[in-house]
Amino acid sequence: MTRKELYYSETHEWVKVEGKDAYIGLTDYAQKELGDIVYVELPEEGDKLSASEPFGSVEAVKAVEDIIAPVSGEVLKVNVDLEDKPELVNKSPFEDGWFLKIKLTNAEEIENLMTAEEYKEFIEDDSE
Amino acid sequence: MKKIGIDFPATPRKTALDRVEQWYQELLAERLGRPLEPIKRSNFGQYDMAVHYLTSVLEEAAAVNKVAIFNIDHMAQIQFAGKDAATLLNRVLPADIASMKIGQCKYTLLLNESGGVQDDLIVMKLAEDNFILVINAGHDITGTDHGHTVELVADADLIIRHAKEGEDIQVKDLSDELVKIDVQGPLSFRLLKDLYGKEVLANRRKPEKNMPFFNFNEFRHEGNDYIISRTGYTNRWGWELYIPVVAGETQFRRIVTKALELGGLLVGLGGRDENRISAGNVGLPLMGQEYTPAFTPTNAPLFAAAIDLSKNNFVGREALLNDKTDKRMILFISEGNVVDRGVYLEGKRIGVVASGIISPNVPLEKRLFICSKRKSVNIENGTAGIGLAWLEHNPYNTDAEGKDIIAIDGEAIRIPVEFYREDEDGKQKGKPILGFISADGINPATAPRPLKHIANL
Repeated sequence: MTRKELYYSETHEWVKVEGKDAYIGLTDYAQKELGDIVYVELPEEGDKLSASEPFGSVEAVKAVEDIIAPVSGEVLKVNVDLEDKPELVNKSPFEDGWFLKIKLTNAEEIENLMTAEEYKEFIEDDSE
Repeated sequence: MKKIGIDFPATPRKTALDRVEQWYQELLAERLGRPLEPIKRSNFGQYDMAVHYLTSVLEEAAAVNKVAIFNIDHMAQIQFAGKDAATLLNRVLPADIASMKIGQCKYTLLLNESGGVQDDLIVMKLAEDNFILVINAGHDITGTDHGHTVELVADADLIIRHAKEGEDIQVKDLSDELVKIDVQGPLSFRLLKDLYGKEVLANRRKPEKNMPFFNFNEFRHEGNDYIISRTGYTNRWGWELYIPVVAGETQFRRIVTKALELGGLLVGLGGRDENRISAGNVGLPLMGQEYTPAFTPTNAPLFAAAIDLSKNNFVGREALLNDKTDKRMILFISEGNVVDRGVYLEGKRIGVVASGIISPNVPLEKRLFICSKRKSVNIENGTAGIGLAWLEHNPYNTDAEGKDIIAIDGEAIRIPVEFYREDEDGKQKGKPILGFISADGINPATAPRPLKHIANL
């Protein structure tokens, strides 16, 4: 499952652009691959993200994956609900399971990301 | 010499229970009133294996509380027969094979000349001239993968190269003839008694008594020959069943149906990984994780059970005798999943995590000892990370006899540690995950305890 209005990274993060800000989360494909998520380690408000650098991690029962910043920015808001309910990433990866709201510091980086259609093709290749 | 191991498969193989696993998945959905979910699968030992059917955490609890069924058909069974089979096995393997009794199982390792671990396995003695080696998945392959990056030599080929001219030894891979299903947990006795009769679980020499731990019986059921051993990879009460392939699907259906009736589950790779890490006081190592050909098993759990250093000779003996390291394999409890992290004590790196998983089987008192801020760790029915790590040195003090002091006045010593992610240069980065090392395990091991405790469940 993908969402048309979002942009996607090769490391399975999604970006939803809202003016100069953006939301970041994990794709449905990635949450399914990881299985039951038990903890999400996130940065704090005011922290800076640089594109392609890890900014946190997702712990599943049997695996841990770094979360890689799809774009650069400054953290405006952290999804504090994930502290007690990390399973939101499994249940609602595109809505309630979002990770961060950031202020984009280099909006052009969006162009490096995949569209929904491109990402769909990408994960189909990946699952071969 | 002609190789015994099979060629590297072009695509991951399927177990003999692949089709009936899908049947189970539908049954599970129906019984639990849930939508049908696809089985999560992964390649393990060049087999397409189920990671979980329901969820790993729910499956992890089955062997502790009720009964867990494992499809272990990916493991291989290699027969060594002939007048000189025992001599060869005793020459190669580090356990005392010569003194084994008929009906006995023995856990041991297959080492290389440098003392590294090629495989860990169980030897079953069926007759003076007939042994079956139960080996790990993928260790039946001799050859190179199709990208030519991995070169494997099957256990059977590693062993047979030590045979001498004129010795009478026949090696046969029985894996395609046998389906292996494990039944583990407190209700395993009841399940098997109901399906096959109490006598199959009896002591072969004293039928009024129960089968002792690490023994097996052969029995006939509906015209076919079966083997059942009182062994398992959970260190809880349990059994491993070898079913002739013609009856595999039918027996699988009977076993899992009964298990669901008893509140148990079919358990995938994830649950089984938890069950072996949480097995007994210090966990059980896994080939490819804690054990590798590049690393000696010195001071690993079960070392003394698997290796008899008083034997005159076996492959790898010299290397083990010269291995003066005081490294330790330890079990830890942590607030999260610390796979691949470094282990730090008071800011100093002391080792590296080999295996880690999230477990629902850690008692609350042990979870609270971590002093975690995570809610999932501190609630009544919460979870914690557990795992095994290799430490470069012994973290414990030793007594006058050189034995590790793991408890004081009956209280297990707990050593608080931190787990850090590390960058390419091995430098710690990010926030630590908290945990502690102790040698009193997750839950007590029940496997060797008398079956009378579960015979009336």
